[in-house]
Amino acid sequence: MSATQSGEIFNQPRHSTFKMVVLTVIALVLSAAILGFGTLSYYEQMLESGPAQPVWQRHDLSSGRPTRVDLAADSYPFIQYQLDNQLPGTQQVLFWRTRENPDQFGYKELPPSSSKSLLLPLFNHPDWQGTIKEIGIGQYETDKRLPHITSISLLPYADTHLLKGIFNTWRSPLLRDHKTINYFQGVPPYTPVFPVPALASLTILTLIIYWVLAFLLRMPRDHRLLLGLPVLMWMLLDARWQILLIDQVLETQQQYQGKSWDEKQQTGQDAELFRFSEAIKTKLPDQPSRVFIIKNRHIGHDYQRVRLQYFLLPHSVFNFADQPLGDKTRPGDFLVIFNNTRGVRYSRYKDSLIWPDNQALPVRKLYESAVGTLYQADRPTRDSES
Amino acid sequence: MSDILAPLLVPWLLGITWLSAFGKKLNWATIIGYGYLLGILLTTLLLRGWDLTGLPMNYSFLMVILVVLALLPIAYRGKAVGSEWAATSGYMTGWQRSLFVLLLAILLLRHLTMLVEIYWLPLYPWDAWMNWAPKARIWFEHQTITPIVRPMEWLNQEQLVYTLGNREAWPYPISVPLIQFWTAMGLDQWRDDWINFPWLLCSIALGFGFYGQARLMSVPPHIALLFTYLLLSMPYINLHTMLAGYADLWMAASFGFSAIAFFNWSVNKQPIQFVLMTIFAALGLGIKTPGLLWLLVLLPAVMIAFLPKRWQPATVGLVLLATVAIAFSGGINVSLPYMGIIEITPQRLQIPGLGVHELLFTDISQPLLLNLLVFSNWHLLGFILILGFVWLLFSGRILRIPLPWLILSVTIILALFMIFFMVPRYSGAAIKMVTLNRGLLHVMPTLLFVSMLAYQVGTGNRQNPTTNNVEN
Repeated sequence: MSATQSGEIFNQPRHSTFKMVVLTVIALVLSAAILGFGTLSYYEQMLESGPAQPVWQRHDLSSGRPTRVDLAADSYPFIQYQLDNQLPGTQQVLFWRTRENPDQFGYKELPPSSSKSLLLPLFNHPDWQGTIKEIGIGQYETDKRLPHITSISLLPYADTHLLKGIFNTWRSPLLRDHKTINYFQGVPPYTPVFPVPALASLTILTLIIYWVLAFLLRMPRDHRLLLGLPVLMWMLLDARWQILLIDQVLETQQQYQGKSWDEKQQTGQDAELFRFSEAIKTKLPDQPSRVFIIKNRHIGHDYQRVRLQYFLLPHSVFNFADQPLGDKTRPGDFLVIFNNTRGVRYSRYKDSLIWPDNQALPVRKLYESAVGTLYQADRPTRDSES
Repeated sequence: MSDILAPLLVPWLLGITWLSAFGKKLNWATIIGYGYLLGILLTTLLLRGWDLTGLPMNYSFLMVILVVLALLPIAYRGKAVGSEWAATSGYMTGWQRSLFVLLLAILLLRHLTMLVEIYWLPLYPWDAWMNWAPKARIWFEHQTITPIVRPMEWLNQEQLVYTLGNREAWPYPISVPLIQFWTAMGLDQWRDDWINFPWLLCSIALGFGFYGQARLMSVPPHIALLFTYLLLSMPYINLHTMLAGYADLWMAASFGFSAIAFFNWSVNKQPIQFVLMTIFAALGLGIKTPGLLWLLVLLPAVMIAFLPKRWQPATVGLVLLATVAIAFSGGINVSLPYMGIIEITPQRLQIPGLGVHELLFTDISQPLLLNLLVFSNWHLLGFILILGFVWLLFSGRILRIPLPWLILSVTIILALFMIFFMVPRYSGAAIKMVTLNRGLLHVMPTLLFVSMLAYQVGTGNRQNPTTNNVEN
């Protein structure tokens, strides 16, 4: 089959590009209107319940401390907040408790508001239900300076709130974490409308409406649109992604610019663990040595212990023990025991580590901190009773 | 910081000069793209070879060897690099040229953004500092490729040995940490931020190689760059570039280059493409364990492509019948000398090098659809692939696609199905969305390239990639 024969549909006389563009724009506007009104109607029906509620608002609250309230979650599906002086590399979080579940906190991570007022939806969060009794804003990094809460408001349903909320979730920063390398959701959790299916729906509906309009107007259908329109939508999504990347780079720059490698480690989320490892290394010989890391067993990989193993390189670490391996530990070996490790204790009287079954390992304590303790094995293992 | 340039660029030069010397039918973009990957992976082979001598690594001396190797083809052929590159200029209309420039600008901005992130961000992703970079750190300390052993062996060895924090990671292939080791040697210091610059170059090389091969297959320049843009703009690929340290991007590039060379060779039968296909399939074995899986996935299509066209459909039909017959008879279980047991039954899969896996169907369609159609990993790729496939199928245009291309596409999809739907270990990981996208990443360049070719063939474009038609 020749190229000409096989391409008969695509080599038919095409209507002008101008007509195609006009028809596409009309189809796009119609699609956007249908999808937009459809979305608004759907959420209005779901969220607008009963008479309009007044806005709940507070100013200049203290970060980290809850404020007592008495509000029906259903009546306030949106939050608007403004935070100032947020430190780069910190993650702020909205927390609340309900009357129905007083022992448990609900949490929602908050993107930085960059000293502006930011409106976000709450209604999709599974814990935002019942009667809210306490609410507050804190941050995960409790050892770092908390931001100032300039204002926090809970808002009732309105179409403008929904549209603004969806836009702000699409505009939320990357929120890079250790899951990002496995999958990239692209928007914060519990976002009501995801950008990819939204633009895919817009694309598909536009193509359908275009085809119908072209058929009704007896115009040839331009198959360039089959690739052209998805590519255009792709580029819109990609523009958003590029903006998010630039925001991320600026945050990374703020966090790490001008710092040496050591200083970068001191800045990140593992700063305390890194400082611990550096302190341990000052007690270890210059040449690589054998080190046991001891911590209670964990299903899957234990972040803290494998991270410490990395920081301790180039020392040679065995990282699978939850208690000293008496028969495998040689004089001169080092042991790092995390402070929350159960079943192992240090006896100052016997200068030994002692664990169940009367096992003991003579050690010297070399360093102690809030994270863990470093020991060095002394003489061979003996029964603790002898 | 200037110390970073030599370890990054000299391997690239090595690949470029050798491909220029022996790949006369290749264009500049293909040589640049394939050249980087070839050069850096050959550098890792040089490090392995050097280590066999028992001598400690000597960066300066190794660099001299690389430079000499890079200059050898020039000296041998007596021609300047680039003097024999195939031309790639193609005619573009005004709007096509505007689109071309726009896409180039976007790609440039993207890579500059990622460059800045890599420059500042210390090694971040979990597996990067648990499974891969620790090996480079250890080797950098000892200036030799110190063996990494299993945990039990660590306990019993008299001399100092190393093991990793992940029990399963010690036997992983070592090309990727060797790349980091090489970069650290060039820097003459251990910096787990700057050892990741090769990831950026991998992304750039992937783009050049993809574009160059597309042009060699007569895809118009604006379409070739459009699909290159689609590939390099996907967030998940960008994330693996800038949250550097995993081996999956390298696996994607290596298998992608091999498969793309296959697409070209299967219709144009140029020896250089067959060589590239083979080299990159082999180099993939040193990157990740799935490299063996992807090589096996390539084999059926390669075997079909060897046959004359008129025999291909009948052969495929016979193979399908034989497969069905074997499946109904309970599968196969053979023991091969020096290799081990190959067992493929409805209950069990055992292939030497890939381990033993009990098979059990697990429905992972929900996380699969979430990741392809809802999350932002791949932009609109999932929708485009589905719509494109439906269009090709219902319009009958799928029959225009060369059979070897279809075979490779089918074997890739079958392999993904087997891994994620039938092997419980990976099904569980897919449900938690841990390995799902990383598996898809390995095949994305390949699937996007064949989609581009299918679009060309399906639209009956004058410049048909199934003809032996290098665009001038």
